[in-house]
Amino acid sequence: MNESTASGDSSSGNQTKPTEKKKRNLPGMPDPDAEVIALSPKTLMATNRFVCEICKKGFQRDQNLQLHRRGHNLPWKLRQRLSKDVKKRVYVCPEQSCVHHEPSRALGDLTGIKKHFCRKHGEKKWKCDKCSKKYAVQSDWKAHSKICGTKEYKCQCGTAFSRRDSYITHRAFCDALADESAKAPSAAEPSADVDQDLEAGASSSPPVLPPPPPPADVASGIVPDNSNDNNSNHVSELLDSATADLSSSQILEELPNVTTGCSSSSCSGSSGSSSSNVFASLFASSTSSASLQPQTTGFTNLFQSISCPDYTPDVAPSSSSEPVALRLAVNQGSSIFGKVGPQERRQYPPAPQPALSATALLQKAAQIGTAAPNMSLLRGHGIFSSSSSPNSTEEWSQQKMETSGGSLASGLGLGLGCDSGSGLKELMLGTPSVFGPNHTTLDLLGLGMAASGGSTSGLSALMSSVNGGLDVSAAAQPFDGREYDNSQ
Amino acid sequence: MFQEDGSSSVTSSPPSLMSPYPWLKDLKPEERGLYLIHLLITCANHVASGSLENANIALDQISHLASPDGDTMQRIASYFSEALADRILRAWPGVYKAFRSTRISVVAEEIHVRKMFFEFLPFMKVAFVISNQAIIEAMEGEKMVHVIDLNATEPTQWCALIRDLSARPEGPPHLRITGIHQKREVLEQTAHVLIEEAEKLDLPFQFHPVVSKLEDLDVEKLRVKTGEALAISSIMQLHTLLASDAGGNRSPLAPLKGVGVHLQRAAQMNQGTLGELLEKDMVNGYSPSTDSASSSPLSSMPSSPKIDGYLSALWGLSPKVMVVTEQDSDHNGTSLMERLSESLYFYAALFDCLESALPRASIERLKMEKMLFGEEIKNIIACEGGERKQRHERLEKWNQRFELAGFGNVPLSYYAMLQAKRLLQSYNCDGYKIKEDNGCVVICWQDRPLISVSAWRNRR
Repeated sequence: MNESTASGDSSSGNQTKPTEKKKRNLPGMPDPDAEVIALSPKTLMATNRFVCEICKKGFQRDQNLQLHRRGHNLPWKLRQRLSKDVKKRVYVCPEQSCVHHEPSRALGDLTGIKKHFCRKHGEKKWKCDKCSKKYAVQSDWKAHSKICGTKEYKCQCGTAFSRRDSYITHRAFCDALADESAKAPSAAEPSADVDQDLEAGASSSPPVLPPPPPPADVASGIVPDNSNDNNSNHVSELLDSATADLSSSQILEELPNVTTGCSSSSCSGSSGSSSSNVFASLFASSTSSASLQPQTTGFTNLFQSISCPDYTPDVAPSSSSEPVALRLAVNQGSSIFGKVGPQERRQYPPAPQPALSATALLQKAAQIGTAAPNMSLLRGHGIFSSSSSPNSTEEWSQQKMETSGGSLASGLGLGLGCDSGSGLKELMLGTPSVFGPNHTTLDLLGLGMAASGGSTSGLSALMSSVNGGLDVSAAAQPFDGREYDNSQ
Repeated sequence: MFQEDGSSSVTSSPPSLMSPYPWLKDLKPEERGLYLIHLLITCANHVASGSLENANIALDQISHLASPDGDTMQRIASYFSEALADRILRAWPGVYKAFRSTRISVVAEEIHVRKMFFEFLPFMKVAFVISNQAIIEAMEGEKMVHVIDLNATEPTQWCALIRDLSARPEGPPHLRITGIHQKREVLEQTAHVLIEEAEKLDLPFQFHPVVSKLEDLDVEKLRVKTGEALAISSIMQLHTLLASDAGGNRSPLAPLKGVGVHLQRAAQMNQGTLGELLEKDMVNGYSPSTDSASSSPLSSMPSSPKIDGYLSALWGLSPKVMVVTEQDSDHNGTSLMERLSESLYFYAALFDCLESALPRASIERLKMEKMLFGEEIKNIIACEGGERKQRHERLEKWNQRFELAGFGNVPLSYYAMLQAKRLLQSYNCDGYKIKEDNGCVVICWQDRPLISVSAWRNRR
């Protein structure tokens, strides 16, 4: 309550003691005896009406200005408020269209009318930096900033909400929750059944969960409505435009109505947290069956039935469970853009990385560099030893023929028996950190054959060993090219 | 791979009639691959130490094994050996210049290769999907949206964004996209596509082309208006700015940044005067980092005024979100060997990706390997100073840089990750993996991180 405006009860002649509370009129019903004051918009919006003549600093209240004047050693005067003299004032809003323009609806408080005017008829200049809310009154903005982001409900999937109701709605649709509850009660149910319902219209679905037919209905009913759905259709269209190849994948075949519903409309891409809201409205609008009351449990069940992981192998590769919202559209998306060329051109199944891949080769090289004292692979070619005799060449060829197409290590292992020189071995294993700042190199050496998946340290150790080997004058000889003259 | 492997050990014999190394023909692919790796390292060692004779011999040996249309390792080796040869040849500037003087670069081919990279490998698409999702989330509730694309070559990303924005529940915003590129024709093409898309969907849209080199960008040209929500998208661009100012050309953004990071932040209001102050400082005492500056461990950042100034300028625009996609590998080491080993792993993974995507005979694959990866490899290995643009760095380093410039990380949403995962799964290839790293998303091949996507906002 603004203490600078008098608000004593005009009808009673009481002296207001300091401890006595000021009597307030009922809200919306101003004191009939009060003086009605209509201030101009400029006055209402003006923040600092009282200005110090010395430093031009503005103050909202005269009292504050007077106190400030003391600092300048200027004469100041604090007016004592005499409750008897001051009449109750009420203020009207200058805006014609406003309700409070009527004297009968005047507001009793100067600050109040100021704030009202700013809020309703003013420009929102203050913006929250965490969210996008805007405010016209600074105190509103401050109050909001304090609580913005503080109170949060966090779903298990990681999405946060500031409001309880949106949090609850989300939980109904969240796939993480659907996962958990799907695992517990009905672990063995393949939701493929439900999918097959969708695609083939077959009604032979086992009673997976409470009302199987309505979910199927609603699911297919949802599908055409999914045009508004917040899903990664943009992803599918993104890739649509990139690839003209739309031959169907499995998902596409299974959910034909989904696809058509999707591709015929542009879908929004709003964030996952709003998906639940959209879905809730879809459910509310599209459902007519009583079984689909907007209850959390009902929705969760529905989702479970539809979004359970696919266990049947003929169903699409995307096997993780997700809420329908995401799955229907996302799967369509993935199906549409699934045809990006790679699927067709590759004629072999995606096996674990075969040994011939460059990545695997590098890892092997790194291992060999750290573990094997010698690369007999190169021995015969005189890179590392001064003896590039024809013996070693033949030996190499023999070794090569003996090895199967299998692991290289065994092939090299055969050659590991003969050592070129102990000096080289030491150098190979020596100063590990010639190159890298990686101290893990030492670890690798200690661990011997321990493979560091793709790490540089192995390779740098290899390099250091190479370098070490090269430093030996004996090893440097081969590079003068003398040895290779014979074949030319 | 399997089908072609059984036929012969050497799937394609290098063009030498009289190979002095007859035994090389009988090498099994694995052994040949390992040998190639060794030769590459050996050769690089020699190049680094200046013994060019030995390097020459190593290259000669490589030439008998490597081939641009062989198996993965052969291809990698051919491009790396070319890069090493390029590096060596620079020792004779006259010869080098003469050798390269008749090169023709066909712009249409370059564009075509980028399109293929977009189509056959998932990285761009995943980056687009995640970036767009982050932008949409940040722009919730905004009526005026301004997106700045630091390299506006691929309109597909923005087409998707236009579609999503026009379909959002609160109605479409007024969208403005500013595209930056060196060539006006590319921007015009992009503009055309986007305007058509926006008109189809009735979204109020403007495209503003800015013809400029990225490092010479003048932020004023971007015409960021107050009151609009700004998003900045950078896909594999920022690393080019790490090239040191060897040539002494100071970018117009540099005056805003210098040694005094903190000063800049504190006096953000008086950018004009502070900028002059800093510029004087820079002229006097501060020398731009040369290549001898250490690529240090994470704690101490190498000083690179260009990128810091650039990021500061971007920060000064107060973007609501800045989405950055970058290669996640350290190719900015000061020593050649460091760069060679890191890039070997990185490009091995990329070549493996291509191997799984396209057959060996595919001309698209050959083009991508040669014109895209091969050129990057050449730049990393052979170039120094301002010419070396492909200065990829690890994600942690980028994160540090962004935080230093006043940005705070915006963790990518669960939904964005989900979309990215779905997208990768559609490629039906086991090799791609996606992982989350401190709010950023990293796309990996097997275990090797390749591309990272992260989102940032102004931290007060």
